[in-house]
Amino acid sequence: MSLGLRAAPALAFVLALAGLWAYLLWTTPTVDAGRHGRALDLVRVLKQLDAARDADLLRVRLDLLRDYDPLVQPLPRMDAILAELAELALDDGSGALGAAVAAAHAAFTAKADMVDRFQRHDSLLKNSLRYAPAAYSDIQQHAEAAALPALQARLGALMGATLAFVGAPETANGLRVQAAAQEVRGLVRAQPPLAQRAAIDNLLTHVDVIVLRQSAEAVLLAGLEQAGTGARLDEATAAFTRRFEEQVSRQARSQASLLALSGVAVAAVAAALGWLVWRGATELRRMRQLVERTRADLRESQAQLIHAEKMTLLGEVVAGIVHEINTPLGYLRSGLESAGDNLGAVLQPARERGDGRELEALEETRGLVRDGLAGVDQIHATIVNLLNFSRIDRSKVVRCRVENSLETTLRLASHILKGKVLVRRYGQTREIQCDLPQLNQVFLNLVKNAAQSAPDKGGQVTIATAMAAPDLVRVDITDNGPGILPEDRPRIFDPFFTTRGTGNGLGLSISQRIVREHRGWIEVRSQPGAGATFSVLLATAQLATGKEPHAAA
Amino acid sequence: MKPFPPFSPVRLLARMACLVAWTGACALMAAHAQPPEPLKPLPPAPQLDARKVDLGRRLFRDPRLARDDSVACISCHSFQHGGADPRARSIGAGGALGTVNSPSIFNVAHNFRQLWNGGTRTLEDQIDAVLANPRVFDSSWPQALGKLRADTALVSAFAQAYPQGLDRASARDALATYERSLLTPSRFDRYLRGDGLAISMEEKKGYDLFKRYGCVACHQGINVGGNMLQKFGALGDYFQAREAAGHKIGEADRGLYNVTKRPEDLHVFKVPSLRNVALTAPYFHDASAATLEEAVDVMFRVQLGRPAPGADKALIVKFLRTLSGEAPLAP
Repeated sequence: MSLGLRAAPALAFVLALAGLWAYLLWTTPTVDAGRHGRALDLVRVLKQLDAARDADLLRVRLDLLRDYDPLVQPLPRMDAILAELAELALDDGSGALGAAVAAAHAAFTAKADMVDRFQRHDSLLKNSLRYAPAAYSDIQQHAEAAALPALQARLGALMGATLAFVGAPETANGLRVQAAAQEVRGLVRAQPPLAQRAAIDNLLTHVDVIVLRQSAEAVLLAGLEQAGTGARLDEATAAFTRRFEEQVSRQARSQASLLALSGVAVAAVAAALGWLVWRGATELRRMRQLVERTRADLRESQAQLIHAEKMTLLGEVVAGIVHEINTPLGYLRSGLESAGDNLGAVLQPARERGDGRELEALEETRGLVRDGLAGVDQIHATIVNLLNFSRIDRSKVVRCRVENSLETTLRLASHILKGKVLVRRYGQTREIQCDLPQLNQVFLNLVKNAAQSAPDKGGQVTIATAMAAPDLVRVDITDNGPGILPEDRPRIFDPFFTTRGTGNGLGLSISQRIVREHRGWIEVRSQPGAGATFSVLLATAQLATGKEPHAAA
Repeated sequence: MKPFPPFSPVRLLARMACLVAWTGACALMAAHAQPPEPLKPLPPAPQLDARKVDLGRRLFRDPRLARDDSVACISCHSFQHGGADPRARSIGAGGALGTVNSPSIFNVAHNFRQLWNGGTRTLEDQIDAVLANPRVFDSSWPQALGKLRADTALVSAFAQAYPQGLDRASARDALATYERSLLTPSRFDRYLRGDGLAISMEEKKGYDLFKRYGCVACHQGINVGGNMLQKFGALGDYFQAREAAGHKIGEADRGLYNVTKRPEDLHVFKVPSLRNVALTAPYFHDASAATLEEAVDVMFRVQLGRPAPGADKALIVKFLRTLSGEAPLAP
């Protein structure tokens, strides 16, 4: 599975998590504790202003306060506070808070209106209350009125009723005052015009004002008590607090969700880490295995290197020996040849003399010399073969036929094959590119194995060459030995593996390596009890370069 | 138990001294425990942004606020006439006649409402009202601002004082700030603050009468009025008398009723401030009283409902003259 495919579900999961987190963050309500605190502060200030105003109103009523400024000066500030509260009550879902603030505003407006009307009544009432007794005593002191006891009495009754009404502004008292006033009016009308008519009318006007304004004021004061501004503010406070708590709980819920989501994210990260660690562990195992294999390869290469070194050394030694042998061998040859020639020269006259014993001796000697020369030739051939085999002087890739290499090898392996039957079945093969010494080494190894596997009695080694494909040469080396055991089959090419007591077990592994470098491979066919066939398949020569073919492992 | 201490003249004297001192203190306290004065002195001028005051001053004199550029605020609020108009009715844009006598622009910061009928509560709202009033400026903010914005000097001055530059809010604010700066402390304020020699004996008598006759019931506080509404003709039907004299009742005469439409608010007006009253003739919303003496007569008749000797009224008038303050420096 490609990286992209593997990453897709993980990426989708991460995106989903991120999206959910962003959504939660976006919908988390911001709880502005500052605004809430400000709202509560404003309500408190408003309550204080309202209470102060109520106190001032009382002082006005008790005539302790002579000007109305304290009743009206807080109004602009109260309006501003109510406006700000209305603004703070915005973004309220249910609208209950807005309604509570609006109700408070309405209560304050109504109350302000009532206070305003109270001021109107209060000012006139106070003036009339102050003036009426003075006006009455003025009338009393006048001579004319004093002469009218009935009028005096009526006026007295009127004043009494008025004062009583002021003390207890009930309807009954008010009616009494009006009745008394009517009597006075009646009396005055009945009389001939009085000089004080105007004054009495004036007094009656003021009494009317007192009754009217006092009643109105009583109604207003009752209404002011019912204004309920304090209660509305308390409700507004409760509504603000409810909204705040609601916001806080919603925020807490959101935060809990966010926390849960974070927990899930952390778990996911932990899982991912765990998986990475596990993968790392398996990687580690794989790496270890790889390292082991590489070490084995390295050991084999090292062994091969040692072997190559040995071969090189051997090659040098062989070259040295060959050289050492070649020179005296040359002497020997020439000496023997000369001896033979000399014997030939001596033989003819001996034959003419007819000395039987001398002739026999001479002829035997010439035969010995001839044998000697043959022996020298044999030594020479062996040395040439040896030289050919090692080819230390030319380690180059050349084009060759596998049969040539086989023949060279077989000549050298002749003592190994002693006692075994050798069958050759050469076909028509094309040239291959090879490093001859190395290829010879491979064939020698295989032939040696075949010869050692073949039984001592009736052992046979068959070598066949053919074209397995137009560009593939096949060399089969077959023995009729016991075959390869199935359990050994997988390991025969392993370095240092051997089923014999002798040898270092490197032969087949080295051979395989060499064949691979020749762009080929070795096949094995074997049945227990039916011998074994090792087939070397090699690619034919293609390029005319002198480069060494390097096959990928 | 301890025996009583023996009689000692020293102790007796000490006790008597304490008693005298205590009585004296009470007497002193009683002497000082008078009811507070119903009139209050003007508080010191508030800290206002000088740039905004200057901008308001310029707008106050700017005729471009009028539709036809014919009048400015100062046309009807003359600094030579106590901040009011000596004409019975002012003339607005297009020669339109006003409905009421222009009140004084001085000390308006201490009025709890503006306009004769108490229709606006803030100075800013009052500015809006007169700008739109067809008998005053007969204009609108877009129109006025359009003309003002052509004045680059004014625009840049506004830009320096206000972050938003010249717009409705800043123009209103500048004018209102200027109006708040128009305070006129008077001799009487010095008297209230303790300068016993600031007013004469007669004027003091006049003040005393002002209180005793009950004028002070409505004309009280910092502004000697301006903090409540009241029926004009509470004790005597003013409008009936006026009608009898030949002046029909007009719309302006209905007062607060025009704003609230409540019958109890008929003929109810804002109690005007008496500061600078000596300078702001003619008097009342309909300019029916040409002199202060006439105005005092009317007040006694319809608001106080009581007779008073002419000498008392004269003293009251003398007192009222002490309420005239120093006019703020004009241009």
